[in-house]
Amino acid sequence: MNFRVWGALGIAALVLAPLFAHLLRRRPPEEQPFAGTRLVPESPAITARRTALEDRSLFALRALAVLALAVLGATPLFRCARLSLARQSGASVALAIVLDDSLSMRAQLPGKKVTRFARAVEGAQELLGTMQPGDAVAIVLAGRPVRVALAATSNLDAVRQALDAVEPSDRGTDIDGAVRVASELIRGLEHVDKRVILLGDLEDEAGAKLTLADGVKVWAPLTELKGPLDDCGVIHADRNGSRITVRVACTRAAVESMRLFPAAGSRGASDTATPPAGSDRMEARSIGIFAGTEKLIGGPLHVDALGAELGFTLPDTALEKYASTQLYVVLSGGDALPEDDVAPIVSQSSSLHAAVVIDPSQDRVPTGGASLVEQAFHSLELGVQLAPMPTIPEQSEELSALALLIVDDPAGFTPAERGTLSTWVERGGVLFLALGRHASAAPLGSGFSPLLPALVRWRPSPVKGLSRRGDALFADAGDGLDDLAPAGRAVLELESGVTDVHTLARWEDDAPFVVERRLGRGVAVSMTLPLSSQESDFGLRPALFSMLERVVHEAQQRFGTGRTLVGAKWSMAATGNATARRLERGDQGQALAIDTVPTGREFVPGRAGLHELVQDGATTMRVAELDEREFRTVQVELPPEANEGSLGGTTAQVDFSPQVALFLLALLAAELAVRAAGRRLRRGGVPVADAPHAP
Amino acid sequence: MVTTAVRPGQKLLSLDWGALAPLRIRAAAAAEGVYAGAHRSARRGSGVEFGGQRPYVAGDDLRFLDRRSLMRHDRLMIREFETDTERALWIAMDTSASMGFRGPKAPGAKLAYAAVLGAALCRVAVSGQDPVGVAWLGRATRITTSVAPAGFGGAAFERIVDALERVEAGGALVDDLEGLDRQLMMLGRRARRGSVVVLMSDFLDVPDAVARRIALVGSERVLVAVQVLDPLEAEFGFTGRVRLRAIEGEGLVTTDAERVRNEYLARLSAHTSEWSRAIEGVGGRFVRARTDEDAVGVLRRIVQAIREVRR
Repeated sequence: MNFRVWGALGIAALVLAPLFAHLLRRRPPEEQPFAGTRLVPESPAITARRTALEDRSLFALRALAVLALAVLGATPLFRCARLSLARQSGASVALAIVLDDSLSMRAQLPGKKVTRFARAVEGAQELLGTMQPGDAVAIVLAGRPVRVALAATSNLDAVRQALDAVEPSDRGTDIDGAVRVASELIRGLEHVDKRVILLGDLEDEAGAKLTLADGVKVWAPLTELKGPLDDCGVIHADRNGSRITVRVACTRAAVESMRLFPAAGSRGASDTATPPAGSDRMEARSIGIFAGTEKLIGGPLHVDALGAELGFTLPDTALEKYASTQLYVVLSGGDALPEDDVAPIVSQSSSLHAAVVIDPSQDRVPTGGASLVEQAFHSLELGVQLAPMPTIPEQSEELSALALLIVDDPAGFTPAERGTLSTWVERGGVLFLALGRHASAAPLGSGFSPLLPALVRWRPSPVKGLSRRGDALFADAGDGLDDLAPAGRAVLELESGVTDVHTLARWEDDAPFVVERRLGRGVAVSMTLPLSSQESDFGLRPALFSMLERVVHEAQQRFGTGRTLVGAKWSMAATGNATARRLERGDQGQALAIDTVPTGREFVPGRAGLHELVQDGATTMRVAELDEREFRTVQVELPPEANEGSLGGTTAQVDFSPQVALFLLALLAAELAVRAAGRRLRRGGVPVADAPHAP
Repeated sequence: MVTTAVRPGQKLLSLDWGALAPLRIRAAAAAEGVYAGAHRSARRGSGVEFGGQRPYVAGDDLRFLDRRSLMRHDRLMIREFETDTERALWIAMDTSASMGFRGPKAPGAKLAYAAVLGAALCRVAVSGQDPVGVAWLGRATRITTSVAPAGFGGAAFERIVDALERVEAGGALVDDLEGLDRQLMMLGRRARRGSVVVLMSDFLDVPDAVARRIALVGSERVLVAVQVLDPLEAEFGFTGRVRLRAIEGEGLVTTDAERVRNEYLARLSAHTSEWSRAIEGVGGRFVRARTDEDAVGVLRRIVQAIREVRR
């Protein structure tokens, strides 16, 4: 409110003027002629009567009139940030609301006790209030991975329910992906006016220009959600014996802040780092390893230590004392998001283990060094401990430590191997078969069923590459797949009656390229080319990375213990009892929802931290970690029309002037009526002094 | 010619007739509701005793003009005759300032109401062939004579109504007691034995000394005093803290209306009773009236009172 408004409201103080006037007036009543005066006895004046208001109704009316005048002068009094949608000639619109539910949206708005996410949801609800019959609304959540909370619908009740069900998360952000999905959701609708509404801080890792479908406009109305975020978070913390390594990430604003207020003491937190004596800087960030509320070790967090693994060594006494206690790493010093300052420490033995069975003679790299698969895993930095395996073990227990097994160009599996593998897969293992020319030369009794219930033959390929029609497997990584220069390809002749083998990618002649079959909790993925660069160029294409990421992702979803990004699915058996809960420090947490999907059940952790999964009485602990990319976000590039006022407004003023003016008129009319009534009453009781008939 | 002095700062106001105008019609309507044949009139004429002369005034019947006096003294004189029972009706009207008061509930001023009553009585009397006259107590600036001569018939009635229509209220009886004495003496001289004198006043600001003088008028005459009060005076309908100024005299009272209402009404009742006793002490009757009352009812009470006194 500006000075004018305050000044106008100051007039409201005049509401006391009639009262003061009455109190100051304290004069004897007006003289009235009366013939029988000498018969009237005199009575002493009563002070209370003289100070009492003579006409309360008139006083109230006049006080209200003064207040109304003050409000009238102050209007437009209120400004609200209600979102309102502008329409082109009143036509109905199709909206795709992109709601950012990432970690950064958990921060509070400056000067308010509302989080960015709450304001974004409120904005969406305000937009819903302006919807009209015929409008279509879709909701897309921009937290990574992008999800469709609600497909385009004109059922506004369903939209409200979907909005009510949305919750903030610790996910990363994928604005561009969300906008792309959102524009696709409404692209096919018949509405002329199609808009993607961005409700978020408009930051993601790429910061690229948004990709929009034709005819779809983008609008980012809530500019107050933008702004730098001073936040540091613990990405992950691993423990290997007494050695603990911690990765901490900070936003740019936090890094700048730390540069301005460097922590006193040593450079970085190391195993020798202890809180420096005499450090009294409250602004300085420090990091500590805690068992419950007891701090075992810690030190200041220096800006130069960011981006690297911080190492700590637990003292021997702590090793023994807290052998079975869950340890946590805690950042202190305070920032915008205290929720991400605590992370559980995961035993490194529980990280994802994978094995690759490759014939070294076949997968020889001309330049020497590790095989293509090993180099790819190293490049991807998926956090997978990959180990070569010479042969398929015949005992399933030998595979129990593995989450992923990659077999390149197998010559079929013996019955023992098939039994071992199928048992392992059914328990949650992920098998990736890269079928090559050896598959057609399987020894007697060897085969791939039930992992791949098909007869596999090696044939020259009639086509050079893959079909990109409906290719959802490789997506952007599919460049160059139309010419793989295959020396041949594996041809699958599926056994009769098999219906649960799904084709994920096809050759140009529609022959299957990648198929998968789910067995129990696990999955077997088969590709009809070997990984060797001598058989095709597939191993040299980015698609290999995409393929490996997929199988690792599948493994991460299923492996009993391990660490995944927030938002990654954790697959669970389709049957039996299953519960999931997130464990806070010293708190058992509440049961979380487990979704039922066609392939079974899955749990998607929306919050980072330690989770306890119980399936048929077996308890496993899993950790969802923060997406480090969320700390490296930059503003996305919005098209110029994204802030156009023609699409709607956010600072509509609430102007009550007409209503206040009408109210004021009503008050004046009421005062006139009261005065007239009062005059009549007085005439009924006392004569009017200036009446013409008074002598 | 007697006039009543006007107090400094107090001007005469035209009478507030309110709903009581026009006087002729109101008086005629009121008179119609009253039985007029209260007595047989002894019409002046042959066989009646000469009662003296008086100066001619406009409207007098020229048949009674004293031609001898005109020729001998060149003066217009009217011969009057006296019957055994004088039945003349005299209306004595208090025109002091308090009679000009009109409260919020009243249809008109007290003097206007009294004028209606007086005119109606005159009409009744005229219809009974009785002479009628009017006298003023207090100042009446537009009335040149304090006592108009009694006359007969419609002409006398018209003359009285004209006078009543022009009457104004003002002055205070207490300020000019000598003038009041003269007015009463003139009335006593005009209204002879057996005449009916109807005195109309509010009797609120009339000093006690005047009461004795008025009582003298009642001796050997039929005296009916009509107290005309405004509803506000009769009920004391004020509310809250009030400051009341006497219309006649210097009284000024500040009081709480609700607290003193009962005491005022008691004092008013006692005051009225004193007047009633004083009037009835000389054989007269005291009739109370309020300006919001139906004039016909009041007229009937006055006629009834006249009958009672004559018995």
